[in-house]
Amino acid sequence: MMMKAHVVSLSLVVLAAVIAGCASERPQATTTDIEVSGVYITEPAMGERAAMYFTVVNRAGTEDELIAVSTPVADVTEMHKTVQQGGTVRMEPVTSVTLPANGELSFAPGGYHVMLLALLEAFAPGDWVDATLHFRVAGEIAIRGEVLKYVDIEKALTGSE
Amino acid sequence: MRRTNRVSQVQPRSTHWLVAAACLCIVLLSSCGRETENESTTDSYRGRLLPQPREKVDFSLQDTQGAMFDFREQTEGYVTLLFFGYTHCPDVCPIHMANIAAVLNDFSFELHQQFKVIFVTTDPERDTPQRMRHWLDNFDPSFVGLWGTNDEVNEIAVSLGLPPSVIFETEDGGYAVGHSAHVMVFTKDNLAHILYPFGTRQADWAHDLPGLATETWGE
Repeated sequence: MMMKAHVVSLSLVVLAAVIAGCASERPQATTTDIEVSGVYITEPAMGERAAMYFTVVNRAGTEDELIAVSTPVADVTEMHKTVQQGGTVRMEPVTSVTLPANGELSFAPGGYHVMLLALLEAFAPGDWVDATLHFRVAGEIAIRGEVLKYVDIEKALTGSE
Repeated sequence: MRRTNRVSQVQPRSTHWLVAAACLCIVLLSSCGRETENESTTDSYRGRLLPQPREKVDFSLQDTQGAMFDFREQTEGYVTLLFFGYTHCPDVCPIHMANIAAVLNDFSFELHQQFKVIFVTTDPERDTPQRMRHWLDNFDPSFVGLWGTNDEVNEIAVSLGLPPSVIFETEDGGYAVGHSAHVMVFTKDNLAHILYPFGTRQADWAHDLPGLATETWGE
């Protein structure tokens, strides 16, 4: 009886650890050298468009280039850069973004974002969205991100209050 | 002999280090004090203080119910957060609005009531009053949305010392709107003393807004 109880409680602990591990692990994709993490999609404002953010880490000694992002939930995706200049803020479309050798590329509010336009599927906070990053050298990397309310974006991307 | 020599050489150096470290501590402490501990009005905010406070301008624009909103008259007695933006804006506008709404909604009813948030569209062509209402309701139904022609809105922005909006054509045949990145805050004296750039965090708003509700700027 004692043995059985121990086995049960041990397996519960293992299960709990596995679940906790899953929950705390941000979805990430890894090829040999490129790792994508912190993928978040904003709730679609007015149901029309949403922004996607993520961080790409390159462990290779050679640079790469993010040339496109695609997702089954949007017919059109564009990469944009938010430019602040003299108190004015505007966004500019970009056709590619350099991923530096042994470096990092961050898509975050006020900087780069992927704009999801012409949405094909409705999604809401708590949902998960699939997407593919297309790199010139590394090719395609599949990612998954959680849909967040705008108010939760700051906390998710900075990891603190 | 050599040993004492060495010690005597080292001592002045270590004294220098001590003095340097002490100075650094004083500098650090005084700069900390400036940011967080100083009770005097102007130094304790995280927003960007304007060297010269700017007065509210008189203007009337259409609100989301189709009524004319007299800015000076209808914001009198409130701490007024004024922002120029547009609803197709992907991150700057909704994040500013969402962050402000979250912080205000954490305040007591009494404190919350002392604030008015005014969103003026810089995209009158696409932002109908109804559309603005729907968009603002995502954040806080009490936020006021104002609509005017491009010329009217730009004249207001410029007279407040903010940059006018600029329309940019995009490759897909659409357009984006460049607009002021700042939220301008008028205190109850009807003057704007402080601006909040994009990147202002919820913690910064939560830190500054209660103080601004009672701020008299030394008057």
